[in-house]
Amino acid sequence: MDLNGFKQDRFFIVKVGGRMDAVTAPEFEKSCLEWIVQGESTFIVDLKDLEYMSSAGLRSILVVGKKVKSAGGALSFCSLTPNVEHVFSISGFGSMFKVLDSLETALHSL
Amino acid sequence: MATLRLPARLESYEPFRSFVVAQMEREGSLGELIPKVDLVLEEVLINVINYAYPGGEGEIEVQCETPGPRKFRVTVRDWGAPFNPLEQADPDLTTDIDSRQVGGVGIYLVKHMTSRLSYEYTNGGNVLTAWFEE
Repeated sequence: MDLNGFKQDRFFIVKVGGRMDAVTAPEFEKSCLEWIVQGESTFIVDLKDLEYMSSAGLRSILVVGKKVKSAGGALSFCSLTPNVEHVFSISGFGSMFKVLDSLETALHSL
Repeated sequence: MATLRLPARLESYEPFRSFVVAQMEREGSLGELIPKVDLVLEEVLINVINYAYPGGEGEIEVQCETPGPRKFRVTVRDWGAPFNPLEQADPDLTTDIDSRQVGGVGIYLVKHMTSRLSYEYTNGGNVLTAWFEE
């Protein structure tokens, strides 16, 4: 899994690539929780290069989402690939979180 | 039928995955099914690795075969505590983020990605078989 976080305008962008599975998801969770501790609260997670997500990935996202919410922030997603979009849709995550078509759209509409 | 048996540890997940994907790629016509099989295999294996042998060591056996054109079947066996994942209640997907339970989605995804799913406890082991069809 490739993971990269940076500040852009008033957002904190997290780019995730590769596979988010039981082996790699804890790394996503840990990094996001650290960014929250550092004061970040408005996250856009860009999944353009993420090919695969399992329930372990969803679990980490939910943990981060709950933390972000209690910190008064927001967690949104953009650029889901077909496999990831399918998993988001079956699990109800697509309606629980804001999902945008592209990072561009997310930056302009959120 | 191809078979691989490894210790029920997280380090075995990648070798099991490579084994199953290699079987599917060898068949050539199963490319469309790979993402579904990939997901189901992880969900089932991680469940077994995390819960089948509490406080002890054990093994997992994965068997796979192509029962017909554009079809694939995977069987996962363990010899741990009897556990029928098909009896697990589906998670409540309608709640908001505050009341949404962490976990419980894995088996739900498995049910959606398979065309058929069967479980039996036989010869001292859990046997879960997943069928995939395009």
